[in-house]
Amino acid sequence: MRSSLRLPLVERGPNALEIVERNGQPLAPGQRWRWMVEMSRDVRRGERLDLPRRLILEMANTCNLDCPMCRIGRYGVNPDRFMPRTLFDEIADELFPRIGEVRLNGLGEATLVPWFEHCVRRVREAKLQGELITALTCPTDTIDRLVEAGFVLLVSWDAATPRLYELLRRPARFEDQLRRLRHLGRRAADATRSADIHLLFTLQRANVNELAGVVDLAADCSIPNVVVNVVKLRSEAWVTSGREGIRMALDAARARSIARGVRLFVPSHIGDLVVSHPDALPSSADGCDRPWREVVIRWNGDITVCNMFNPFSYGHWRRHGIEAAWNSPMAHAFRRLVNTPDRHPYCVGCHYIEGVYGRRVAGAGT
Amino acid sequence: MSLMDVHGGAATPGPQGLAPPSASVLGIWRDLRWHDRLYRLDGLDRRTRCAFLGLRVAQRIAYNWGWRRGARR
Repeated sequence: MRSSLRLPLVERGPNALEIVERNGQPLAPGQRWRWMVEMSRDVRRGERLDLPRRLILEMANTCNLDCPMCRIGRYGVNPDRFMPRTLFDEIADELFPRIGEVRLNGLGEATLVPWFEHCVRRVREAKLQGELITALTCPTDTIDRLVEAGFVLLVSWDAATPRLYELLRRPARFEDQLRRLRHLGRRAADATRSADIHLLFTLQRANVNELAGVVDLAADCSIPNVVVNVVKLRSEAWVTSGREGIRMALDAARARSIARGVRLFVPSHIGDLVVSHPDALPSSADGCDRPWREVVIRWNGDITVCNMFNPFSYGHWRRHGIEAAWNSPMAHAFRRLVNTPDRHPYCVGCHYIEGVYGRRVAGAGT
Repeated sequence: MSLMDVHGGAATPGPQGLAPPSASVLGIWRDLRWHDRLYRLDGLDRRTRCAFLGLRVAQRIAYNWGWRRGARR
């Protein structure tokens, strides 16, 4: 007898129950029940949302650098963790006509993807606002294509001194990187796109005293913006023990940014330290709208929450499709809980500064 | 059994977290509605959904029956 049951085991991508289970794993036992109840609630017709304007595509989940605070590149570059080109084209065909902004990176270096310029071309052809966070280890030709395509670029740059830079961005060479950064600054200035270029400084214990130097370096390379992000660790004890040092470093950086005409974007808190600068910007920890405004598609087709790469999943591109995942019970549960005390543990103390990247709020920063 | 079911059965004896979820009509009805939504999200056809939901009921009743019977020994 021929079975007419269509077993979900043969489908590509995890099924919905697997996703629910995976989402439940990192939650504390006391919190898990609340989340499970929310994920099992009906999604009413009036609750359904239109797709967001902003899409984040993780082109590569691998990196050629092995930075101590990230470790995504600890085993070297793994091409198996590039988003397949067929998947990228499927997504671009379906979503590019329906969105306004797209970011092309995730937890890894997107410019390593051999057909990365194809992605940039598709973004340009679709007339979308492109965005990329990169360590800038790519060839200068790629930099030129990105500037020509009008991308908002955030270059990860964690130190002003060669020795520390090379420790934090191993095995990059400071001089080579600086040459590329200068090239980017010149190209952007020639194209009158300097305002779209940023240095992204990830504050961590080792580089607190480097921030003012990075502001100077940005000015020297014609980069007009420095964004401060904070390393994500299990414990933020390093902030508690180094409060005074962090405060002094921020004050020094602010003075340099005013003197050199560089806009400095700092979140209103660093760990439990409240940043009292008059121009410190609220972060998502103060109230988050990302689950309504953006969606992430990971290299393997997982559909997740936000640009901070919370692993919570709404569904899978090939198994469920974007429409169903965006309005799945998991997605609505996340939205109901993100701004409550029961928020996902990954969201606690988030340092994302809303509106700095891509579409910047007018007047933000010094 | 899934994480979804772990909370149930706190009043029953035995190791924490292993107690079976309620086999009441309401408990089973809620479970079936929830899983039917997940199966729809996965794009399963009606016949497959019904088969899986039937298996869920059988599994839940069997687990409850076995748990209670074991506890009486």
